Amino acid sequence: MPTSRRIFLKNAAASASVAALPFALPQIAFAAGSTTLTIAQSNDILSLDPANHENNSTQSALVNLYEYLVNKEFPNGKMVFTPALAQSWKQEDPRTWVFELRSDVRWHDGKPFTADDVKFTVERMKGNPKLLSAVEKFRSVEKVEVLGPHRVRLVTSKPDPLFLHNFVGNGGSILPQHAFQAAGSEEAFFAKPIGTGPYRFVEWKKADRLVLARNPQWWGGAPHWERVVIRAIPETATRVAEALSGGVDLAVNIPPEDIGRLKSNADTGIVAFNIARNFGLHLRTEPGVVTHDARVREAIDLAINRQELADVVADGYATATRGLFPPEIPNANTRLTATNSFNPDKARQLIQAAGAKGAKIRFGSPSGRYIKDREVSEAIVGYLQDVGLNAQLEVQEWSIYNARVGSDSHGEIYFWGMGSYTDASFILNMGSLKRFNPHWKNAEFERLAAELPATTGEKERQAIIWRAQEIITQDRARIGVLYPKAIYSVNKRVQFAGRFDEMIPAEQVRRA
Amino acid sequence: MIFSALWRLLLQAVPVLFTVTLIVFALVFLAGDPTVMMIPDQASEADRLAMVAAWGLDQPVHLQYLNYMRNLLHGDFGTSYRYGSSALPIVLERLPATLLLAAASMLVAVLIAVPAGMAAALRRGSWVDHAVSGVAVLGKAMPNFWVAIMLILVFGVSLRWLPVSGSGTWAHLVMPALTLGTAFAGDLAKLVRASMLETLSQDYMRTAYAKGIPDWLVIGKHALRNAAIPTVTMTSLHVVALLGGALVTETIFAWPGLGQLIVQAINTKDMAVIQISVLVITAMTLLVNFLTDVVYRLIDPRMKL
Repeated sequence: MPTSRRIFLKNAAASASVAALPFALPQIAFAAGSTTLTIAQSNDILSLDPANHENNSTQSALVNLYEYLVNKEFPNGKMVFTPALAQSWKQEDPRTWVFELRSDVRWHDGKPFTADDVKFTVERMKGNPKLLSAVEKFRSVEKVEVLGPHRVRLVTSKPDPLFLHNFVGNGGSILPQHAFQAAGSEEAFFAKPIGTGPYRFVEWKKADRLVLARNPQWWGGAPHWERVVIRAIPETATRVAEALSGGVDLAVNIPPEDIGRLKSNADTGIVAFNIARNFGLHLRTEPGVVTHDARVREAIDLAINRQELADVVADGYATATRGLFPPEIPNANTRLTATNSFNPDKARQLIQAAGAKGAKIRFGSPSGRYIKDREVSEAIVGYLQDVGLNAQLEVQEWSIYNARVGSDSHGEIYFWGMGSYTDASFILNMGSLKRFNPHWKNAEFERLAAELPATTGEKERQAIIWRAQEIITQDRARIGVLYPKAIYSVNKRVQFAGRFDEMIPAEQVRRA
Repeated sequence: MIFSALWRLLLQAVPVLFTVTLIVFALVFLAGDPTVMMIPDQASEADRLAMVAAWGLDQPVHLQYLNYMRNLLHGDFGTSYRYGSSALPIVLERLPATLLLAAASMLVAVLIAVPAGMAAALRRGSWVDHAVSGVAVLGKAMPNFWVAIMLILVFGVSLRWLPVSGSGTWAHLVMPALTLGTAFAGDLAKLVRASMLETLSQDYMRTAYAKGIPDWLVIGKHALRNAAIPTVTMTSLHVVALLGGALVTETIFAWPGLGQLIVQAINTKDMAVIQISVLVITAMTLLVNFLTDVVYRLIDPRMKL
């Protein structure tokens, strides 16, 4: 059939449109020389107020905008404080701290940073119980005295060995007094906030992206990137696809099963590193439940093959342990290892002796809250069934799961990924302990909790905190299982090794 | 006439919106205490109780509701627990993305379904008819998340023609709109086909042909117009469903719409955000229903507003 003029023109137009499509579309992948750093987080930031969220991803973004008086670093797996907005600090007596502040720091609006801003930040927290960081930050501070434009003294109500931790992490970021006053309200300030950090605020499009731009006046020198874009991509498959397509430079929370694809892709690699989190089991200990019997709790502990969990379930991206704090955390009891922790034969004997064979154990687990949480729980339930317990997995949606901790309505065991702690003395925080293990009691543990606040010697403190970790794990109120690692995808055009505190300061991500 | 219809809409809206506030408040209250989701691991029970008092959650529930309604009538829509700022802007800033995605996906569905449905009806029993029916069933059978992931892998990762996720340019809209649009196009094409077949068998169609009116005019003016009423009904119902947010599609494409916001708000028991979201969706549903009536009137002058 001869081609008519109309059909010919139609076909030609269609072919031209298809051929032109790749040119008409925006260029998706970033060029190797791009001066924009794009980071994919697994959730949107919750707030631009550094004192009003309890979320690591949020703080990881905000560290680029605001700064601390001191920074925490983890060289060689050991935590140290390094100077930041404070160039030095000293303790005049056990309750009094004096900070010498940098004099060359300016806020993003060009005004100088002074000691008044430190006083304002601390007092703002103490005056507002709605601020989420108020439950942990500056609680021991009694008085803040401005000694000069760049000198400030803080007095605590009692000796506080963890005092410097107040100035790092959620709630520790220093805020500008003058800008708050000029804005008239907190909401107005945080609509377009300013800090002293290497990047200034440009835009926060909720559930989509936070955009920051280079602060040319930064005291640390010219920042490395023109722009930093922090994107919220909750779906793991999409985050991985963005990494593969070059749409993002860094992508957090990569599941082990996607590592192969990212490694075999020409443009992407993987970094995995230790983080401040542990996976553990919390056991009921009160009379009337089968886990009241210490032999049953010990059997549960011995039934778990932690090395197999780390090697197989977590694909090697976790460390087997019986401990509750990774070794990088100050005062973590490093004697609590997984060595000889798996003994199913002894577990069976203990269950037999306790008359608990076939006893029903309800095992609560979240699903997707932490990487591989459900899979780890399923494997543990299998181990418990293998030694003769009738363990049953109860997987719950996170908000319900979390609420069941508060209402003390979980079954005999529940899984918890405790994290973001700064010091292992956290174990002796009786308020928190009672929330997670309301029925467990131990006289020695309570005595240690009472002694700790008055103990200032480093060695004495460590002895108390180590002993406390031994008591709670020997009594199996909490059973340590794994220290999970963080896994990030990193585009080969940048270099980033990952940080133990899971922060991503853009200044530490460099072009390769 | 239009003003009296608008007045009726307003009269209808007030009791509906009031009832919605009451139902949502009761449901969120029954879901439990929001502070358990807010406090860090380090907090004690005393810390949590201090937060309960600070947010006024220790008051009897009826007083909490009355306070909420009083503030609402004074233009204060409450503060989000999760974001720590006014709830209304948080919800309103998500609205454009939701409306844009709903409109784009409707456009995709209509552009596919109407010609396909018409072609199938006009060539009933032919291969065109069978092909349209087959593709419509396939479109319905493929789950949204699967289509979304396939589009991402082909156009985002392999060809790199479109951005994988996010928002901001027209290119970001293409894959989410195709995912939602193609899913609805199947149903819509089948409906257009059935309506067209029914219309084509009417006496007035035979009369139109007998009068010598050209085919395109008979089909375009007489057949399509009369077949459009059920199509408009179904489309408006689908738009209403999309206004609540297309959660799966929004999540996969990291599209910052209302669906993601509402689910996060429910998970964190963020009362003010849930309330405003539901109120906004209810108001928009009433508006869409009203506009549907207007469109009916335009299509069929026998109908009254």
